[in-house]
This record gives sequence, structure tokens and C-alpha cells, in this order.
Amino acid sequence: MSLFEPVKMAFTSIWAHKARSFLTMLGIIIGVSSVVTLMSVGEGVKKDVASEIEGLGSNLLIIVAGDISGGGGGGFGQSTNVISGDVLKEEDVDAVKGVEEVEKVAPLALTGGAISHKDNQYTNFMSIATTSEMEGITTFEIEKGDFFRENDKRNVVVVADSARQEIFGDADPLNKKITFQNEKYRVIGTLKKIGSSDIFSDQAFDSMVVFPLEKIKEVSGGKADIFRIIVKVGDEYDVKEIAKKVEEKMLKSHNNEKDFSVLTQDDILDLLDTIFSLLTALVTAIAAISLIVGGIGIMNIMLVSVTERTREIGLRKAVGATPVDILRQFLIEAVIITLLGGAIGVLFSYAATSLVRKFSVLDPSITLYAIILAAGISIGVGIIFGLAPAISAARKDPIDALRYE
Amino acid sequence: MKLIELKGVSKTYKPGKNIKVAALKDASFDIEEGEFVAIMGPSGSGKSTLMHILGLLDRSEKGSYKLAGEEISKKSEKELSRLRNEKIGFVFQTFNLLPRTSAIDNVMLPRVYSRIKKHKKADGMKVLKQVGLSQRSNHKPNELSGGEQQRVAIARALINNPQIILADEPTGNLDSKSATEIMKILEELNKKGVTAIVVTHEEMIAKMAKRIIRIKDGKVAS
Repeated sequence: MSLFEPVKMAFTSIWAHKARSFLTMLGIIIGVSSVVTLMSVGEGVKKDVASEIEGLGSNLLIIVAGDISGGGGGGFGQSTNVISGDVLKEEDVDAVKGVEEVEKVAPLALTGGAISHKDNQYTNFMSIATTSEMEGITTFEIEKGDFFRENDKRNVVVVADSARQEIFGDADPLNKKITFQNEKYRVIGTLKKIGSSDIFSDQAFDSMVVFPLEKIKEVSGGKADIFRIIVKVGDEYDVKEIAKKVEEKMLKSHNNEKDFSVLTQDDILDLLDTIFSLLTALVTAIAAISLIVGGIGIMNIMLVSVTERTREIGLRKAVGATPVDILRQFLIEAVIITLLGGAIGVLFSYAATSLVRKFSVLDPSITLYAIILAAGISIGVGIIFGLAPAISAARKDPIDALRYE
Repeated sequence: MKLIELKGVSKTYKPGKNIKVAALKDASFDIEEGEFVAIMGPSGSGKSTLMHILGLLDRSEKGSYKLAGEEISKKSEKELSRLRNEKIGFVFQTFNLLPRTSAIDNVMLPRVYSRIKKHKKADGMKVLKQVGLSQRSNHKPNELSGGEQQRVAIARALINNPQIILADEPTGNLDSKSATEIMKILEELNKKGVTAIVVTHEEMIAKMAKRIIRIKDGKVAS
């Protein structure tokens, strides 16, 4: 028996019970569309973040506390001291400066405390401290005014775009004063607006207030909590090689204990990829539960259909159908129901993703992989849940089946 | 040539635990090629069981059944399916046409399971013409009368040129006029060389056959 006949028979049977077939498909439609939609939103976010990172240029190294790479696969092995802030020291900055291919090295330190201007207090800003080296690295570009001087110990501050907008509105912020830890600081510059996500993977950086590191150290008793060191490598060098050199220098200053990581752009992309894949897989797995529910619905309706068509099965056997022919017929019918459901599900997720695109900043993309996966899932659900009804159909005794009223 | 040879065929059923019903006891008879035979008996006599065994829908427990010289008890399930498809045409009391399916598609149904791969509608039209229904080929069963439905069923039985037509109470659901028509069609087919076996409990119908095999309490009487 060719495949054409059972496929034709399946469509005839599905068409004969349109409403029932559609309701049966609903579980698969919902399951497939949620899986595909979630996957494509995840994919969209990943692509978005990745392109932002790539846009920053590939000649950056970021040194963070804790050994993230632990073997190079981008996993989270042996992450010691990730949270503790005293791993990175100012000596590290000097050590890295010793690498001749390095153009600029800037430490980033976190400082605590609220900022006030006139009578208003602001607690939602991210206050950090850095050195004059940071100017021009990634998004630290001056829009107006100046950046810090070398070893700046003045009471000066640079504000990022969102922070400027919130504190000063449309007024000129230059030379205005803000209060931080009971001292007054003069605004000497503003930063250019930062995009939706940047190398620090956080929009909070657009609401940043930046103080000179030396001044902050002076205030807090000579200490600064450096959480990142940003290194700019000369354009003409191979970033990966320089990363190795930087790492060697760092190891020396850390007594050969690797409690830090030197990340290149590729490392960060790998890391993000791992995180997003994990998240997407998790959410998708949850959505997949509805596929099981849908499959049970298919099984139920196929069992009903087998019982209803007992006489038909008997007749088919009498005129020469083998048990395998009958099995194939019902299995194909189940698979066609799930495949149709899957196809409608993919259409639904096209609609859903275009809504997401329209009403959010995300750019979800339905990949070919997602569609192949949806087709695979649909066929799989059809076979798994269609098998039991098909076997029961194939086993029917033609005599009993013909007598069935 | 002997088309059917039955020797000492028995069959029992177990409708419940420890209950055995002998449906067929030691049945033996031959049917020659080209015969027109009626199998007669009251309901519960075992004639349906006999019909199922003859039609390869059921297996006997004891005895030997040779169809066209071939021993049936040794055949596999798949071989039996093929024999049913190629050698036997069934006609049932309740017609058993597929609903929502046109007459021609019903007629073509056995072809779906045939080794004859060509799906020629012309063959179907030919047999429909034989039963006088060629103008109604696109009608669905619910648009046909009982007699017409049974004629479609006969056409379906003929599509693969079977050696035997096995009809189980073919006129049981029909009025006498349609019943006579159906029997006349079977007669005609028999004249063309098809062996016809009709199971019935009606004396009138049985008399149209050339030979009557009577069965009572599972035993073949004559």
C-alpha cells in the first residue's frame, strides 16, 4: 500500500469531523506555538545583546573577579570569589599597564551612598569611580564638558545621560553642584547616551554618576572596591594573545592564584550564549508540558475514533487489509492531526512574534531550527500518542468488528 | 476442479469461563469451481461460523480446509489477508459501505490493499456497470436505496476478479423486489464462472441456488 491512500483517508476522516479535529489539535497548536514563540524571543534577545557587544569593538578586555572560564568552555566551573570585591586591586591596574600592547587600563569601583541636588535625593543612580583612562573606552564618551584629569583629586563628577536628565532636566548641568557623602561635587561633564544594553549588560549604566577614583579613595580611607578592570588593546594586535599576556601579568601580581578572569569579547559572547541557551531551554521545557497534554487529547480522540470505526476496520480487514495496513492508517491519521496542529501553531507564533516586535524593543526571530523542531515535535507526539489507538485498531478481530453495532 | 475441500472442520467458542459452545462439529464437504451453493440453517446453527471459516476470517480448530488446493491452516495472517483480497469477494447483510464515500471509491476499496498497484477507476466503472449502477458512481451510500447499496457492495466484491463470492444473508435487509434483483445478479455472475456461496435462512432465496448445504446445531446435514 502506498502512502498516498492512507493520507487521503486521513484527510477524509479529519474533514468529516471538522470541529472535533480542530479541538483535538488545539493542545498541539498551543504547545507548538508557545514553544516556538519562546524560542524565537530568546533567540531575538540573544542576537540583540550579541550585536550590541560586537558593536563595541573587539579590542577590549574585561578583567573580573573569580575564575569564570574554568576550562575555556564558557561554563561556571570553580567560581571562587566572584562576589567578594577585594580581589581586584590597584596594583593589578599597574601590572596590566606593564603590558606594552595595552593602550589604556581603567579600574571601575563601586561607591555607595545617595546623591542629592538642591532638596532632592536620588538613590537609584549607580555611582562608580574610575580614572581618566576610562575616557573614550566603550561608552564613556563625553557629550559636553570634560572628563577627569590624571590622578584627579578634585571634587568633580561626570553624569551619564539618564542621570543628567533626571537631576537637571533640560537645564545646563555644567558647573552645577551635587552632594555625595556630605561633600559637594561640581559637574564637569556629561556622557553620551548609552544604548539599550552595553558591555556591562545593564541599562543602569545610563543612570551612572562617575567620580574620580583618587578622590573617592581619599574620602573612604585609601581603599576602593574595584569590581572590573577595563583594558583597551591597540587595534593592531591580536586580542586573544594580549589577553594571555595580561593574564600572565595578573597571575604574577596574584601570587599565581587564578581568582580572576580576563574576558575577551568572544568569551563574553560564549558566556551569554550559554546563559541564554539555558534559560530558553528551561522556559521551552515548561511550555512543552502543554504538548504532553495535547498528546493525551489526541490519544483520547483516536481511541474514540477507533471504536466508532470498528465496522470499517472489520470491512477493511475482510477485503484484504493486513494489521500493518490498519496500524499505518490510524498512525498516519494521528500524525496528520498533530502536523496540522504544529503548522497552525507555527503560524500563531509568527503572529505572536510580530506582536512582540511591534510592542517591545525585542526582535524575536523564528529560526529554521525552531520550525524543524516544531515539525519534529508534532510528528513525535502523533506517533507516541497515536500508537496505542493504532495498535488497538490493528488487533481487532474482523469477525467481531463486522458484527459490531 | 474442487475449489473448496472441507474435512472434519470443528470450531468451539468460549463465551465465558468454563463454557464451551461447539459452533461447528466435524463439517466435511466439497464445493466445485463454478457452483452456486446456498448454506441454510436457522440462526445459531453455526452457518455464520462456517461462512467465516470459508471466508478466511476465522480459523478452524480441527480438520483441514483447502482453498484451490492450498491448505489454509498453515497460512500466516498476512497470506490470509492477501487471499481474501485476491480470491474472495464478500457481500454482507448490512452492506458495510464506507459512509461519506462515493460508490466508485467504495468499489475501489479492495484495490487499496492489492498488489495490483494501478488505481484504475475504469475497472471500478466496469464492475459498477455490471451491477447496473454506472450512472450513480458518484453517489454516497446515504443517497442510495438499500438494493442499490447492496449492488455497490457486490461491485466491490468483484473488483479484484475473485474466484468466490461469499454472501452472508445478502437479502436480509432488503424488500423482496430488491432481494430478487440481488439474487439475479449473483446468478448472472455465477453463469460467468464465479463460484457463489450464499448463506441464508430463507427457503425462497436458497432455492435460487443449484445446491443447498443444510446445517443444524453445528452439523452439516446434507
